[in-house]
Amino acid sequence: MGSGATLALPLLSNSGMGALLAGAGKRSAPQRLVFLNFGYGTSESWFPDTTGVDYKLTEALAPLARHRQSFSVLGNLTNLQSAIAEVHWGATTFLTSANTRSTPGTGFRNDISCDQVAAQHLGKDVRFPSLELTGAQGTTEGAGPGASLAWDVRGNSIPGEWDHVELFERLFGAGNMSVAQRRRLLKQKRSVLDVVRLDARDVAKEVGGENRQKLEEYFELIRSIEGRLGRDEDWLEKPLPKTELEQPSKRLQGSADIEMMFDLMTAALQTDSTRVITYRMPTTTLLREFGEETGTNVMAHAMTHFGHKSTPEYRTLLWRDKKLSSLLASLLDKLKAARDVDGSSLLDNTLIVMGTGIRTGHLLQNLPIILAGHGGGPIRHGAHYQYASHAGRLSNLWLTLLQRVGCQVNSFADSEGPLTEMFG
Amino acid sequence: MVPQFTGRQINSRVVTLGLSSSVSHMNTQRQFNPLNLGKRSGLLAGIALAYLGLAQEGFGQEQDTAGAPRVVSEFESKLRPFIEAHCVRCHGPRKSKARLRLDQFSYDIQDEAGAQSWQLVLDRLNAGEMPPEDELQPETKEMATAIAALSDGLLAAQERLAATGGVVLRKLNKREYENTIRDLLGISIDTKSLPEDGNLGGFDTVGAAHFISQLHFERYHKLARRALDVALGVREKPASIKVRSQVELVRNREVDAIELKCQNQLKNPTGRDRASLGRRMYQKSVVKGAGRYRQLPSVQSGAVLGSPRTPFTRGTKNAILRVPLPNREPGVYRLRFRAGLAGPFDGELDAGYFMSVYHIDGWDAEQTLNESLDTVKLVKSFPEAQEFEYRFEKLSRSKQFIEFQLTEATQDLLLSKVSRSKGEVVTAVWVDWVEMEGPLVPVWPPPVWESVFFAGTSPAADEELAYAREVIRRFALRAFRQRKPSEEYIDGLLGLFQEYCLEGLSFVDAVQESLAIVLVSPGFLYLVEGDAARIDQRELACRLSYFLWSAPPDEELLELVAKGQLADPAQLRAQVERLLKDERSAAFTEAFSTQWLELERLDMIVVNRTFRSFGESLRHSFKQESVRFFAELVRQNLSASQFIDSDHAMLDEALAQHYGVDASPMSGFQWVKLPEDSPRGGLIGQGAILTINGNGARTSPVERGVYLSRKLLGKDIPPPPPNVPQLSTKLFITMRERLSAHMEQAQCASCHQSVDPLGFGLEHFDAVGAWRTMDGENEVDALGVMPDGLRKFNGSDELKQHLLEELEPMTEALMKASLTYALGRRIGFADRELLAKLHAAWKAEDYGMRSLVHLLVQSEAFQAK
Repeated sequence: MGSGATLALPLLSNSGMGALLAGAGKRSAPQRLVFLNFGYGTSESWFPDTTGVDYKLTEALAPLARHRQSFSVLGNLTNLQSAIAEVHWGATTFLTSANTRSTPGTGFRNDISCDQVAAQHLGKDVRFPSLELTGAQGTTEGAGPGASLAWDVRGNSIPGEWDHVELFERLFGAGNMSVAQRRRLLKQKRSVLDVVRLDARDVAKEVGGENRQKLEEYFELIRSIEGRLGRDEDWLEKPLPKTELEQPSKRLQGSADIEMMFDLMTAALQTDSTRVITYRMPTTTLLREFGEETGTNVMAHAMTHFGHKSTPEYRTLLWRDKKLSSLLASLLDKLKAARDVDGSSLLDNTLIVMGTGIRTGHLLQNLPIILAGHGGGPIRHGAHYQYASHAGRLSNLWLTLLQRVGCQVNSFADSEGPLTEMFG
Repeated sequence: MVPQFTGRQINSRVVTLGLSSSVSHMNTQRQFNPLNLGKRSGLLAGIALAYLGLAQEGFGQEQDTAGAPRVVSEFESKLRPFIEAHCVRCHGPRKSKARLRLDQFSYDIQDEAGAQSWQLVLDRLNAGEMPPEDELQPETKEMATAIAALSDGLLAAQERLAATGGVVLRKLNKREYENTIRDLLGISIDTKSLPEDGNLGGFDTVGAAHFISQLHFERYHKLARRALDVALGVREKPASIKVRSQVELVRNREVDAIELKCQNQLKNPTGRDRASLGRRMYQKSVVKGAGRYRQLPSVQSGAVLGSPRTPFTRGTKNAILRVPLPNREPGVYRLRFRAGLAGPFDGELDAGYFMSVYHIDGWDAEQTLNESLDTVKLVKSFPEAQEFEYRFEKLSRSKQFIEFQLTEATQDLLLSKVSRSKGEVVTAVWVDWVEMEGPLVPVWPPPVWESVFFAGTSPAADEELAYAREVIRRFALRAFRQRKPSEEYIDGLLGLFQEYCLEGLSFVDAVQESLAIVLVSPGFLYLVEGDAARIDQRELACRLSYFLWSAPPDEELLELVAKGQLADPAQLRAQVERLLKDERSAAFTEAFSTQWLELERLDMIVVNRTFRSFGESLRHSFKQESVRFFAELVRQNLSASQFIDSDHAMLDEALAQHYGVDASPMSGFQWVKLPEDSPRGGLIGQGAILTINGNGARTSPVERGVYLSRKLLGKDIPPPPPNVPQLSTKLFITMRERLSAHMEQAQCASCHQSVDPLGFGLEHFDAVGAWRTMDGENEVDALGVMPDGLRKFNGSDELKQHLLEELEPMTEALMKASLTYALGRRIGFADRELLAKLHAAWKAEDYGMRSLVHLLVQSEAFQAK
């Protein structure tokens, strides 16, 4: 593929791939995107040696063997614009493919992330245009700046939810209110926003120009809540969905935390509460689990800066590589078991990416990326795709995913064109 | 020849390395890719070309200033020879590969475009892509010099070009929010549910880093409603109760449970049980242990921890006792407990038996040790015991516990006695009972009640609306720190109040709901300052109180504001003294020292189990030591040079033991005079500093060196460059071998050569800061050299002497950090004159830490916008 090539896909996406695939008259399943990210990188042994459909699963990927025909390894993808930036930012620009150093002096700026672009398209018909989840907290998670994977159109971080109970309540509600009660509540919330806006205007009048810009964030949040209230009004007649999932009762750690998030994500997708989810997974608490199992306590950062292969750091990393694969496998199990509206499985209508912005150590090129699920139409899974270096922009993958699930976009960040090898 | 960016304004999109997709897209259309920067460069070449191709247009016209005399900067003198020797042949007038002419790059970085151009050169060098493999390769040292010059030059340029400007509108950070609510409502709240604060320049006070989102708004609202409910929701004086837990029940239940489980397993063994001799032996030992435990005399009236004669073979369970407390409303409670040694004892009571006490509050208690109340030393033996008393604050309405935990050193001590005791002497710790009393309500009704509902809670029907309005208005005025809310806004709130009433809420509840809206309004959440060039007195009071208390101004400050007297330098000085003497100033000393010294990293360090002396209580003492050391320098106005070396240290019993400092028995922390030959004193000897710059298993001369360089030499080290191939994966025996690998690669050597040798000076301190003479099987090697490569030293004492020779850079860096914290904005190049002036004044006052606070407050910058 020449780098000059741009749009390879016909405007098939216009009508939505899901609609196209489902039989006429039958209720078609919606298309979804799920992005998973982990801190720091993997070991070099994570990456398969061989390419193509006959590639051999590495030990790290072995737990995914039962899903072999439902995922692919995408090799040689890089966030070119951030591959020259901070070496421990595994999450900050993962989905934005932005150049955070674009304005030296100001220190940092980011751009919209692809999940938020997707939410503009896929989020129209659902309660929550997107869900942002994060398990990673603090500065030693290998994630970098930001409070989730998601960044809004102004390049501001969108804080992610970390509390299972809060998330459950948001998705499935806590009480049983009548429609009239809910309507009154919505009206009240609107009045609240009207009142705080009055004070915001007073403040805006008092402060200077630069500070007025800062205050714009507050106006922006008023507008976004109003937008959501409007959406809630549309949904007023529809009760919050029911789920078989039990309300989580306590805070979990490590893989139990991640598995619970996966349960909630699956429930959110199955009830069509949202179609776009990002999840920045925890690292430190996961490693603690390894420490408890083996007595080897290694800090997250040290893990990918091992020397010899006999070091505890390296053993920890190998364990984490495998753990991530088995966690992903469990998510795929859950999605596969969940029925969609048209009788297919959720896995058939969802695209899941798992990866990070760091390969290993301080290397920011040729990232570990897995694409799973059969959303967006037929994919030739079960292969290790190795992209030629000039096509290997991660933004090309984001563009591809956006187009496959029906977003009408021609480019994303520094993308050159969609990746076509996997399809058709 | 010095090219300048004249001609036309460079479009920022062009400068931004293809930030918007259209820019880079355009480039691919223009087919730059046939050019190749080198064998391994394919990947990054695209973007490099994307930028450079366009930047070329920006270069457009040049102005030849040759002939004009000029000063050659260090940047240029170090870099130019390299560029001319290794780059210009291909990227110069003759070939200009990649349409790139390094001969035209300006060594005087004046703008973003200039910085970007050099940044790309640095990136290529770091990635090992240039010069291409088939070209003459520079010597490692030569390469390292060039990379160092570029890294340092760009770091300096970034600083210089940083937009500084005025103070950016600051949102209350989590600490300030908590304190402000406490000030308003007289209660403490738990802000765990708020998203993390943004952070720029290392401090949570920097306004530019703050942001607000939907999630913030929802959580603020929830917190505000809960806080108002706790503060105003209790209509009757809560009955204070006193409950004594007989802890033997707690322990006996645990013993019974594990005994029963093992008995059952012995009776009905599974296949796994049969297969494993170890499992059977374990089960038997548990049953035997349970029998022995019940025979201990002290378990009749208490719980025993740390005894080997228990069914708990796992140390952790044996060393911990978690006592549930009655679940009561939030408030302040008194805790008492009685504890001693489970004796009779073998006469070594002075050896030091320590137990940490935690109050755990909240539903996710499994993970969080919420509040460490103390680490107590037990000196009495059963049936004698000591009584201890504390106060704690319950924030949530959920379950709570008191947890006792033997320190690791104590556990070791107890274990070591097992072999010798032969059954007669019982060495263990004994907790007799735990008692909780509260909530303690000294004044009723609570002052906050009076201040909000100033004329009671049941107004006459015809006065209700007017009264509600006044209640809301007064509250808003206080919440807004005396900035006047507009009438329109108050009317809006009153409208909400009426809506709530219509809905059937009581007068008090409806007011409460309206007040919650005040607490999510920008007037409360932001430290609002007007547009004038200088701040007014009210704003000055706010800056002052948020600087030194992280809380709103108190009555006295507000009175001075009302009289217009606060700005008077003498008055301001007196107020700073008053605020610093107040215990609320711990908010400043703790927050600043924690952030400046990056002490929060200590929580993240997973310490290897081989360091038996290290435990949670020592971790806690480490942090306290550094925080309290800072506070003490401020309190006594001691010189900042004491951060490098001091003849005193802030120690508690556990630290004195860990450091091997012979100190008379202490309760809590004390300012201790160190022996002449002690290697402690100053930051270098502090456990927290030594531990955070390592990985909990090994020391890290690299991290220690970087830290020393940043904190004590005032020199920032550029972050590690991306895409430098992994250091060789050989197995290294000594630290020096390991680090010598850094010197093999120029990209690494450029920084490490000035950093690592500094860190080696601290090798006598192990990964948790204890003194050592051996590192594994080798003698400690603490030879190092200062970054100038000339002044050699052996060990930390000699290193300190060198550090003391250059106080200027250290004090400048500290001054800059404190100015950042105080002003809530990044300090940049534009502030250099301010910094120079302040620094000279500070030097004249011998770098006294209290003087520093005064200088900052009296400075022009503190009172300007």
